[in-house]
This record gives sequence, C-alpha cells and structure tokens, in this order.
Amino acid sequence: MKKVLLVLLIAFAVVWMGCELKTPETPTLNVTKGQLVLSKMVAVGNSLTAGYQSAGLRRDFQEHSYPYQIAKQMGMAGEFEMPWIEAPGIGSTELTDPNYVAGPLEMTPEGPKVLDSTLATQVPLLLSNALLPRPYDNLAVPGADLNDALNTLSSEGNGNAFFDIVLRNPNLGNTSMIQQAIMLNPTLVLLWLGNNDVLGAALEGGNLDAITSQNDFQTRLNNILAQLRSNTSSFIIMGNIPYVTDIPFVNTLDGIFVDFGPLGKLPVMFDSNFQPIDFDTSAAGVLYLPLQTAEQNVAHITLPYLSIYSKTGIGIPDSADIADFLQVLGQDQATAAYLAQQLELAIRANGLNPTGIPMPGSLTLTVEETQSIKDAVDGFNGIIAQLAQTYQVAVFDANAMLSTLNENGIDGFNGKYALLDPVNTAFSLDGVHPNNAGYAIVANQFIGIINQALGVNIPAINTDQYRGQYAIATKDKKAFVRASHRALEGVKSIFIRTQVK
Amino acid sequence: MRNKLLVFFVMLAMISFASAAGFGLYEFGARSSAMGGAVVANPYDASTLFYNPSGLAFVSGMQFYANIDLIFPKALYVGPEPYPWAGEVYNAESQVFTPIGLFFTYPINERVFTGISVTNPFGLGLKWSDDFPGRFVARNTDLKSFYISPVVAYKVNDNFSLGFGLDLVIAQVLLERNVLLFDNRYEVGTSKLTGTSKLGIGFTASLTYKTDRFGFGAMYRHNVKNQFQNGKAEFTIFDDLSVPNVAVLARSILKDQNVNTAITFPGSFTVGVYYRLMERLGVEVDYNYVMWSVFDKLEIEFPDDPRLNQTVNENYQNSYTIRFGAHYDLSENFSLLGGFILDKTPQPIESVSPLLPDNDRTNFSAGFSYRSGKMQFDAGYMFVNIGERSTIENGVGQNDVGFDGVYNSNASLFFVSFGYTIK
Repeated sequence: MKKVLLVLLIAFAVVWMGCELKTPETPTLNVTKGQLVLSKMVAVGNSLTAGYQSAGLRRDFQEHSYPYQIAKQMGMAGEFEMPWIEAPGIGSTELTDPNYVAGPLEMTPEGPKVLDSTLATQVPLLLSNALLPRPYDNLAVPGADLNDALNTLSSEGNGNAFFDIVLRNPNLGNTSMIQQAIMLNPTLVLLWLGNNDVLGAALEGGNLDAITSQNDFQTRLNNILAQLRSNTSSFIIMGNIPYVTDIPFVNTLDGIFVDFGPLGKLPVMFDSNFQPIDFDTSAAGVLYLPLQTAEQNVAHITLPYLSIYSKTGIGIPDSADIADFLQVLGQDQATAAYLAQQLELAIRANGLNPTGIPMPGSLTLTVEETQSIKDAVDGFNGIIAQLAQTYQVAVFDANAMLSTLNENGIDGFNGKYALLDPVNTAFSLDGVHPNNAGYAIVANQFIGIINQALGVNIPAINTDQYRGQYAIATKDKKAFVRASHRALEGVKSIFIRTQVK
Repeated sequence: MRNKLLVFFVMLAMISFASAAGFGLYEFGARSSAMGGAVVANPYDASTLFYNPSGLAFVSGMQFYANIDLIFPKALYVGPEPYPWAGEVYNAESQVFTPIGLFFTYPINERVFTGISVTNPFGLGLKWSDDFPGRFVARNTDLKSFYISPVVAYKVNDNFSLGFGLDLVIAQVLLERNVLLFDNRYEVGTSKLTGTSKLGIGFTASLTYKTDRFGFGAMYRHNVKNQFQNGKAEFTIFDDLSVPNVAVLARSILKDQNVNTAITFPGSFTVGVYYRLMERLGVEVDYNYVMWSVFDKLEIEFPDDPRLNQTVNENYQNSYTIRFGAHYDLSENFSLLGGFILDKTPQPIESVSPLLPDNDRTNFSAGFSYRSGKMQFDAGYMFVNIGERSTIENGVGQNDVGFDGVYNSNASLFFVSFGYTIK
C-alpha cells in the first residue's frame, strides 16, 4: 500500500510540474490608447466652463458650454451629465421683487433685458437632473475661484446657490469640486480656474484687494494639480487666464477716450452710437467734453456706466466743470462761463442730465489699476505654465485666444460688445462671458489640443452656425443702455466675494 | 475509514471545482473517472448510482463505495492592448478542491434494488489576487452542490433494468467582488454574497440493457432550481479612500442586508454503448447532452434596497460531451483504465469572465482498478485541458460587462476510491 502511495505521490509531482500554463499572446482591442483617454471626461471650472451667458445659466446655454460641445463632437453627449437648469433659468440680475429670481438677459428691440423670472421657492423645480446619483461630469460652479474648488462645499458663508446646485452636499458626502472630480475617476480632465481670482478686480473698477496673491494662487493651484495627479490617471488640460481687461465689460467704452495731449487721454461725453460728441458746431474745430471721474488716469470705463450715463447723469459735467475745462483749454473766465452755460443747455437738449457728480472709482479702471491687473494675470499665467510642466499638464492658452479674437478675430467673430456688433460678436450680453459662438471657439481650441496630444480625430465645430445669435436689430440705442444697468450690475454680484481670502 | 460519518461531514465542507464543461462535475468513482466517465452502459460498482442508477440491478450485494477527487485547477488572465494592464499576467490562486462521492447499495430482493448516493455534480471555485483588474466582476467565487439521491432499480429480466431516483439538492454559493460607486467609476470596498439554498428536488430516470459482451445505457436527470432566500450580503468599505468622505456615503448606501438569488442546475440526458472487444478489453462511448440553457441569467436581488439589484447575463447554451473509455483486464483482479473526453462548453463568449472562464475541453484520463474479495481499490488521474479563451473577436471585446482579455486554464484531477461489499 505504501509503495502505491509513493508512486502516486511521485506521479503527482511529475504531473504537477508538467502542467504549467503557457502565457497566451497579448490580445489587442481595436481601440487606441488615445481613444481610451476619452472614455470619461470631467470638467472643473467656473462660469466659463458652466456655460454661463448673458448674466445667467439656462439649459440651452449649458448645452452650448464648451465641455458639452466637446462631448457632442466625441459622440458622447448622452453620457455627459450636467446640472441642467430648465427655462427660465437662473440669472444674477437683481429684480425689484426679491421673491423672484431673474432669468438671463435676452436681446430685445429695446436691448438686453431680463424677460422671465421664477419664484425663488420654485427654483429647485428647474433642476431636472438633481437626482443623478453621482457627481456631475461638468463640475463648474459660476463664481468659483481656486480656493472654492478646494474647499467650498455649499452656499453657506458665500451665498452662491450654484455651489448647492452643482455639488449637492451633504448628499454627496460633503465633498469639494476637486473631490467630486476624483470620485468620477476621470480619464480626461478639463480644468479652467483662476479667472475669478482676478476678475472681481476688473468688475469692481480696479479693486485690487479682490486679486488673490501670487503665493496663494501658486499654493492652491499646486494643491489642485497634486490631488488630481495622485488620485487619478487622467490627461489634464488646464486653461490659463485671459486679460480680464480685454473683455467688452471693460473695453466697450474705450472708443469714447480722446487724446488731449498734455492732459492725457480722457473719456468724453458720447452719443447713442458710442461716439464722442463734438460740441463745436463750427466746422473749424472740435470740442469734446470730458466726463467727470473720481479717479485720475482713467484707462477704461466699465459697461454698467452705459445706463448710469443716460439714466442718472452721473459723470456728466455741469456748467462749473465745463467752465473749468474751457479755461484749461485757454479760454478766459468770462467766455468760459458763458459758453459753459450754453453747453449745459445743449447737453440737456440731448436728453442727458449734467449732474457734475463724478462717476465713482468702482466704474473706472485707472492706468495703474489696469496694469496691476495685467501684471497679476501675467503672474498667474507664469505659475500655470510652470505647474503645467511640473505636473505634465497640457495648457489651453486662453490668454492668446482672447488677444487674437480682439486683434484679428477668429472665424470671423470678434470681441466687441453685442450692441456694437450683434452679428459677429463672440461675447454674450453681459460683456463678460462668451456666447454660443464664443464657447464653440473655446471648444475647438480644446479639441485641437486633445486631437494633437492623444492622436485622435474629434471633428471641430463649425462655428459659422452660431453667427448672429442676437439677430434682433437694435433700433433705439438710448433705450438699451437704460435697461441693461441692473443686469450688468448683477453680473458683478456673483464674483464679488464678501469673505476674506 | 471507521469514522465514515466524520469523513462524510468533513468532505462536505470542501469545495468543488468544475471539471466538466460549464460548472459540472462528473468524477464520482475513480474507476469510472479513469475511463473518462464512459460508464453509463456498463455498470460495475456502486458509483453506477450516479452514472446510471438502473445499473444497480447489475451490481451485486450490499456495497459501500467512497470516492474522493483532488482537483488542482490553474487559471490565468492576460490583459489586452491598450488597457493599462495590457500584457500583464494574473494567476488565479492555487487551490485544491475535494468533491466526494458516497454510495451505498441495498438490494431488497432479486428484482428490486435500492441505493443512495451523495455527490457534488455542480461546483466551481476560482480565486483571484486582490489587485486583479477583474475584481469588480468576481474576485472569489465558490459554488457547491450536494445531491442526496435515493434510487430504486427494477430488474425486468436478466438483461434489462429500469431505475428511478430522486435528487434532494442543496447548494451553497459565495461570490466576492470589489464594489464601485458613481456609475462604476470609484472603488470603495468589497462585497461578499453568501447563501445556502432551500431544498431543491429533481429526479432521474434510467435504463440499462446488458448482455455478456454488449451494453446500452440511458439516463435522464432533471434540472433543479436552487432558490437562495435570505442569503447574506456583507460590505466592507476601505479605510484609505482617496476621498475619505466617500466612506461615510458608501456605508450609508452599502449596508449589510439580505440577498436573494436562484441558480438552476441543468438537466442532462446521457446514452452510451459498451462493447467487450476481446476477453480482456472493453470499450465504451457515451454521449451526454446537457441542457445548460436553463442557466440564462443570475438575478441578484436585494429585497431591502432594490437599487442594488443586478442581473448577470450568462446565456449558457445547451451543450454536449463525448466520452470514450476503455478497460484492459490484466488479470481477474486488476484492470488498467483509460479515457478521452471531448467536452463542448456551454458558455458563450459574452459570458467568459473571471467567474468561470470556460472553453471547449479535451480531457485525458488513466488509472487502475483493483478488486479482491470484498474490497475494491481504484485510483486514477485526469488532465482537463480547458486551454486559451479570448473574449476578443476581430479586435472587438465581446464580454457582456466590458472586461476583456484572454484566459488560459487547465486542471489536474486525482481520484481515489475504496469499495467494500458488505454482504
């Protein structure tokens, strides 16, 4: 018996050795590594990534956001989940009745207007995708800055309801934007943050306190990239910061600045075509009357001034201001006083109100403020470039794109305000955010980067289809400027932070 | 050997491995197994209770027969290009499985014979490493079946008998896999589903026609549905998640709770023909037709939280096995045995997965049988060559849940039996 068992044992050992499994040849799937990277795209950003247009967010705008447009071009729009806000949408314009939430601005024959609103208590009903049992693929929160992406979980403390709409804490575990991105284990991340670390400064007329320090920017962006890199194996594309002074909100009224030689460039009174008014009725000379500004060395006047100008007359010189100016030009006191009175009458005849009250600094950006903002943006972009190298992240040069848009145009679109060019503008009615065409241009930029880096072939968007979004011809410009004041003020509100950074 | 009952319960605690295609097992008797299981037409020992119960009528006396298999399966998986784990080889853990067969025959009179057997005709076990990329489909699978089959056989005449039996079936299942949340994107922990089925009932009907040199056998076994009610689902959430707060969320979604499922073991129909070619040499060929199409899907139900419900498509197809067996009698007491099996897999390419990566098989067996007086001692070996099976066809992944790659597997079986004629 023992012998038999021994034989069996040896046989067993022999057979055991001989039955090693051969390693099969590695099979191949008909899909490239680059295509695999496209399988789970997640976007993190602010209003620019959410698809904010015309001081509001609404489903049709969200469908034109650049991440959604990219998903469409990839044939994956059905899987790209967003925090849909159904019509009438949610806007930032403050209405006279605080129980109502405005929708976005719409172009009307009278200019940009809020046409629709929702009872505040009914707003949750607009959120048609609120029950999605996982984080959204588009985690952009209008108003978010770098600190928010890392730390802000809800509207508590900042009053920005979009944090609740997008992050849906505590139901999603009290997690931040970056954490929710990680929870989706993305293969492709579109990251465009940092605009709100400097934008507030521009919107508030040069409030340099609203700019995040370079150190904080560096620390926070480093933290964001470190988290994404160590917790996901994704291809990351990061957008840098355009010059926030090169948007219509800031530069629409640049055309009303006149060079007065030794007096420098001053903004002057303008007509409904945004042209300086020549108060010299004779053919011989020209007479422009400078607007009254609290700040010196003004480089830009922001868009909300349009309606203040026509509605209230703040910034329009009165006869005393005009008399002083004429004396500076060389007139004697008596003539200056007489002419000033005549001119004041003429101003009133133009339907404007010469208050003599200087426009506050919150509406003007001085040369120094503009330069500081530009320097801050340059600093941020330097940090972005450097961290992109460190973390092997591709960069979407949004800064260059906006410059090109303003200088040469892109696809026949330009950076003018909709009232100046309703057909070819790439900006929406708030003068800050792109419109359908603008976002499509941004999407094409990302698509170009993705195609090149991953060796895939996502088709570009034909931006021509978006031309003339504001097709309604503007008939009475005077009326426009009155109407859009509130809305444009509202755009600022979501970017102005009341909390200390 | 004295403590038969102890052995019985210890063996019952062991796990089975699928040696016949799908998750069927067919090795319950070393002599029968060494002949490739081609024994339906020539009953020889008490293991006929499994292969062809009507053969009881041709097995003399009150016999006790016990069999144990030692199954050593091997399996590996290789990831496809361009997955991140392309070309990486993952080996399933080495395990040994010990299905048993216990047989007891009791003749009533010259015409009526009874018997009872305990076997494990269905089972599988496959365990992968903790980092195996398919761990979300299955990381550790274990299926056991216990068929307690009382049988009665009636000898119609010297050459012909009929048999009828009941199958009292209990099954046990274990499925461990890792859990993903958020649309199957984020790994949060593991789940363990275990259950013991309610008693399932099946039956068999069989016949044997036997002359001195010729034998014919046929056997039908009905399918058995095993209902698992109030099985347990246990979840373990990892401590070290990259987003720590998700652990709290996960624990609130994935609570330990009851789980229900059902697994139907297929019925089969077997026919075989035996012929004694020479004085010392007998050969047989059997054809099993196994009605695997009853195993179409695995519905996993969580009665306390239907959001977690899942359906795993299996879509097994009816399949067949062709068995060739031979015995060469060196003497009155000692025979050499050999067998060859062609086993078609019931598993469609879409279901090839870490649960069980099956394939058409070619198996070889050999062994010996020693009989002297009241004792019988049989031993043998079978090599089950499952081989390579890829889920990818023409560059397109076919797996139902999107986990593609190529598997290679085989198994070595050792079987040992001991029989004792009591009267």
